[in-house]
Amino acid sequence: MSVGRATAAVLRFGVVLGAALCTVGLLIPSWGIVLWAGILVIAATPLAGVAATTAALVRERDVWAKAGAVLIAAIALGLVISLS
Amino acid sequence: MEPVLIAELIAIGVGSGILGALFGIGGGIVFVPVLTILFGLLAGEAVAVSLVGIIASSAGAASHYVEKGAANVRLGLLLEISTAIGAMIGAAVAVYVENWILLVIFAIVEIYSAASMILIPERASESTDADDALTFSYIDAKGGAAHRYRLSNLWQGTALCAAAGAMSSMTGVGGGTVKVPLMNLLMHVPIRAASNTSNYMIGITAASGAVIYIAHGTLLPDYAAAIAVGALIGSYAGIRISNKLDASSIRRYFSLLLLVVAGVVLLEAGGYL
Repeated sequence: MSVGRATAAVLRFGVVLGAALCTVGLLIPSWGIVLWAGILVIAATPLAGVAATTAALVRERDVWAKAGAVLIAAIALGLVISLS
Repeated sequence: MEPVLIAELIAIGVGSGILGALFGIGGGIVFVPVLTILFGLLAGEAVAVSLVGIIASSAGAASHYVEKGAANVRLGLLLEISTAIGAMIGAAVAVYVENWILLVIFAIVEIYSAASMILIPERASESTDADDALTFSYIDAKGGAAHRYRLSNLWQGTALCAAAGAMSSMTGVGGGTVKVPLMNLLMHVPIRAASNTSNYMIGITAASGAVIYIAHGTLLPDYAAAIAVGALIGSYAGIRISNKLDASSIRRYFSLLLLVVAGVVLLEAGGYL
């Protein structure tokens, strides 16, 4: 699967699933856990997209794969610093 | 949550999602003032809700643009590295700089970018060398033609993205309204590819911020969910509108948007928002 298609598939799946869960959570207020699940899925989607892009670039032995790996490390470092 | 309130939030999400998909902006400049002024949310709560909306809009639009070959994910990854580093530096030094000064500088940058985009014709660097690592192509949604371009000023652009990331983390505004002109004016990325690439990038930045707000318990889940659903719907509508616009129209409308953003930021700097 190409870089574009792999990234798009992850982004589309994540955001549609997240929005669907959010809709169910809004329609049934007692299902707060579903609402939260939707928000967490949406929040994780772009990060999953970066992982998918990087994995596809690595598979294609693309020189830009290094940028993806460094970005994942930078995001992880930023989150650790911010949350600690 | 009242159905009327849910409907209002979804409507705001739709409007911002359309703008986001069209121009590659995050939408925080819309969400935050609306949520604080009209809905009475605290600034931190509004930013947290806004970030979830930005992610939904960005992921919805980017999934389409990336699949169609209309966004440059490789450039997006590179520029996001410097943005993330800049944001961390900005967060560390924010306490030493007056916020209003940063907002005025930001507004000046936006006005300069708008004027440049109006006055200077687009300069895409054509390239015929497909093996060059700095040569990319994108498919123009209007007409379906493939355009090849070569990145210019890569390292200056990367460094300025760090500065944009720092300013964004210090002021809470920025994102696409800085990165799109940067890619278009300095790096000579065609406007449509630049705004589509920005859609991919801003979701990454927003996700990193949203995780922190969620962990700190600042996020209002009902508001965020309604805004996210609206933003996703809006992003799909924005894609359809974008496919009907030519590049020069996108550039012209984007310039106007920059001037509006500059005005909002100046109002914030003056303490009116």
